[in-house]
Amino acid sequence: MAFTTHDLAALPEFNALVRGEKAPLEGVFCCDLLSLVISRAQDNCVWITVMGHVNTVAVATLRDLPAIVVAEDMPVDTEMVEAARREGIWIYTTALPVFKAALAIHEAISHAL
Amino acid sequence: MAHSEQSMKVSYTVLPDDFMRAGEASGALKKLLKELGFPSDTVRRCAIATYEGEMNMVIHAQGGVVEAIITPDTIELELRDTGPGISDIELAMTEGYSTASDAVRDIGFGAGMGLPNIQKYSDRMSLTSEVGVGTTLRMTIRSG
Ligand SMILES: Nc1ncnc2c1ncn2[C@@H]1O[C@H](COP(=O)(O)OP(=O)(O)O)[C@@H](O)[C@H]1O
Ligand SMILES: [Mg+2]
Repeated sequence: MAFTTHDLAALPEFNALVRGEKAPLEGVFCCDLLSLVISRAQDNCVWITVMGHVNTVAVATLRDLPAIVVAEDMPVDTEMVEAARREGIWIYTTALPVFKAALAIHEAISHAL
Repeated sequence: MAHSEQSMKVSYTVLPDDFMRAGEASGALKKLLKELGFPSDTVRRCAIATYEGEMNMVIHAQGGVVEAIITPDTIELELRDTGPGISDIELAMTEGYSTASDAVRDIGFGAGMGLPNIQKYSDRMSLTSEVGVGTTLRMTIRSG
């Protein structure tokens, strides 16, 4: 396993709010439109959004996405936290904006290869 | 499900205006298909199509029913609601067309990609609707 959900939790800019299983993270997908995420996210990617609500967990679950990053320190609903715990999906928060968060994770993934 | 005669019918209720539980029907069906051992591409296409259909029943109608008939090589889905119906189906199928409210758009829905996604990821779809009566969406996902 190259870069994993555990490695992301260890990056200083990212805070693991909900921990799930150890899983590989192979890429990054950034989007806030749920129809695009559900149809176009690559398998095993980490999804970066600014939406901290429960519907993101439903989409991640349906596509088996292991991890959601909520960027820009946007608030995360308690329903989202509970759903993520139930489904075993990681939630990370970060103060970084979407692009910088994506770049940081992309660099970490490339480094780990 | 080793024999082609085998079939299984499941149904799920979708509650109106329940954005907290929206996606539960699609999620339950997806888990079932995975357990039954369907290939990941089949599961993925079915998950996308049912989620879009389920969300339409939550957003645009007053909930409804999802029914699936599962055989080893196909999943037949029927999503029925008694919502407002669709007056112009061709227009509704146009990518980017949406009547979703701003509040719904603010939480990431209303891209006008739901019905086009369903068409793209299912092997066959049919949408029938009567204004004031309701909408029925049928789709077939072939496996393998
Ligand atoms: N079950 C339904 N009942 C009533 N109207 C619907 C239903 N499904 C879809 N529609 C109409 O078709 C439009 C397009 O649907 P869709 O492609 O899923 O986009 P979106 O849901 O993002 O608006 C909706 O905005 C709505 O006007
Ligand atoms: Mg829709």
